[in-house]
Amino acid sequence: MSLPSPVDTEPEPTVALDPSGSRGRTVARVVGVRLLHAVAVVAVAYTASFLLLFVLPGDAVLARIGTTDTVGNADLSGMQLDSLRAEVGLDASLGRQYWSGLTGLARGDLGSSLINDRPVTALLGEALPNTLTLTGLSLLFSVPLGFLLALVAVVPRSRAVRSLAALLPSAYVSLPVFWIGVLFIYLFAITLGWFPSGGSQGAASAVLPVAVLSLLGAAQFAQVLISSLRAEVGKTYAAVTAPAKGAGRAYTVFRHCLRNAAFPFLAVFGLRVGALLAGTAVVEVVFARNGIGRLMVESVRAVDLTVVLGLVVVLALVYVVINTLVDVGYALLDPRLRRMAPVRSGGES
Amino acid sequence: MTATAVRPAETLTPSEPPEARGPRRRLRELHVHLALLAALVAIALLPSLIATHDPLALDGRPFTAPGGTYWFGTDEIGRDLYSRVVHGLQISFLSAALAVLVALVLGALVGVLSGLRPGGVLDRVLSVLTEAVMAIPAVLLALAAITAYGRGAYIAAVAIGVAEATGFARLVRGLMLQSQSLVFVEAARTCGTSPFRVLVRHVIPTVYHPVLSYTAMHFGLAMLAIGSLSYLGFGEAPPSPEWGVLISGGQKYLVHAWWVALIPGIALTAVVVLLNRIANLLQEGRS
Repeated sequence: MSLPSPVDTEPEPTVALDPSGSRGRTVARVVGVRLLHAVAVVAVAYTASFLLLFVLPGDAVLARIGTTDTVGNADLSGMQLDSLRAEVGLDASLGRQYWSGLTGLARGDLGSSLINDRPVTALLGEALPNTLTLTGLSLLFSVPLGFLLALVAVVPRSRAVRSLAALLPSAYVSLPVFWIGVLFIYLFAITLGWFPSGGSQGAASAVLPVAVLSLLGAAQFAQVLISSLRAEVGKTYAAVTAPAKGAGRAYTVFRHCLRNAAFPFLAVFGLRVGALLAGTAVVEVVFARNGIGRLMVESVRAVDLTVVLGLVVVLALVYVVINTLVDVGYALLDPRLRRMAPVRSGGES
Repeated sequence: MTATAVRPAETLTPSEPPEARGPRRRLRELHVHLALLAALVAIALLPSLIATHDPLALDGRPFTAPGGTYWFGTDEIGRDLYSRVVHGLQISFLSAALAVLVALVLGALVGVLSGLRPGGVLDRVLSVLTEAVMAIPAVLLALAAITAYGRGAYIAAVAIGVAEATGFARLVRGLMLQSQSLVFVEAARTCGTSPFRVLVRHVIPTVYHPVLSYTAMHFGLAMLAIGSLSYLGFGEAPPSPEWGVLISGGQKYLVHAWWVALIPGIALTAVVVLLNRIANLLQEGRS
């Protein structure tokens, strides 16, 4: 949903590594510190959304009665409402609710829906695989496509080709993703009739949403790669040393620049995952597919606080897990990070 | 036979800016874009200036194709789409402006506070807070706010502003760190200038440029995010001509009348492209 920004492209090593430690121990320390940090981030995200959702003017119990017909809503006395509140645990003090929610989170229990009493984990378990499949498929296409676009924007000698390839990604990220979905439905489902316009049945129904999302991902990745590749190409080793030893343009980019340029890409890859999941949810709604998009829209509409909270926490968890993996990946992949022990405060320069 | 040998070795153009253009040409281009933006602001504040019809009046035949009287055609109950798009700019533009304002103020505050003593307790606490907000996608944070406080483009805008503030905070913090080593900042500090005065007189003037560029870019992103929320049905309510509402309303009639859903999207794209161009031109001005 958002463009790669100058700050995002900078990998921020968050841990000071032990310069004398063996590789295995260093990595273990990185993992340990990162895990602690990750737990703190998820706990804070949970707390923030709990405060946002549960200190609120609306009444989830009234919303619940409005959506289920178990109680006649003509003669509701205060007592019945109170007993209903007690039933779903909304009568306890905010502190108690918060604490039981947080301990439940640690056990992997997200409570149950205020609307239909089903456990939130079960609802998410039904919705999440569809969404993750969609996101995973689009990543599968968007990463190579992003690399391809970036190479076309840097390698060819023709300036026109390079400019065009650099223009495409920045133009695509200016398009509203839901509107591209509508446009694709109009072009490929209604006018050409190649693919179904929506639904979740069969592989054909996934083609258009995957296309919309992988183009979006490719455009975002290409933007980052283009700017970091351009910076690499201008550095001495690529601009002077490589030509001096007789290496060709394409060889230099492939053999030398691409590796160095891949690190900002890795950072952005982690940071974009949350936005990509949210984008997937929106695209699911456009194409009327089952997944967290539908769950999200339905639970917000029904003021189903626990499900919304569960969604926030699970997406935050996915984000944190991926970014922790990316950070650990740095330490594993980049020999300089293992040796030099970067300091947190100097990370962004 | 020797022709290939004389040819100079293929070299990569060293550090040539991607779109090198003269500073004068860049400035002219920036002025043209800013004039367009000013026109958009004028339309957003006074949409009736260029609207041809009442955006809510049912004065045409339903689904008239784009043409002479109805430039963008009419929708399912005969409202003029052109006037609706023009009036919709107001909500999209002003709510996005609110989002960016919240992001800028909050982000700058957090960034400056954590940049004052890098690595300090405050910096660490703020960095965990920032990352926690970053972990929640902007659209989902806005949906949580809407669950709590009800639907509306402006509620969504504040939530998106809070979500986007994280990027501003990181940017400002980084710039603060960079500026600490600038010669004149060090000189001012050596002279015994108060930290506040150093910040206001020396640091802020050097860092506002990238912040401005980042703001322009995030203005466009906020418009897209608010459009998505309205499309999902959590922004403005249907009679409103907000662009996301127009697109989701028009999607049902895509088979007979493509223009109802597709034209507002083109308008939204055009505004976002304009804002991104301004952001790029400002960015290029730095290097």
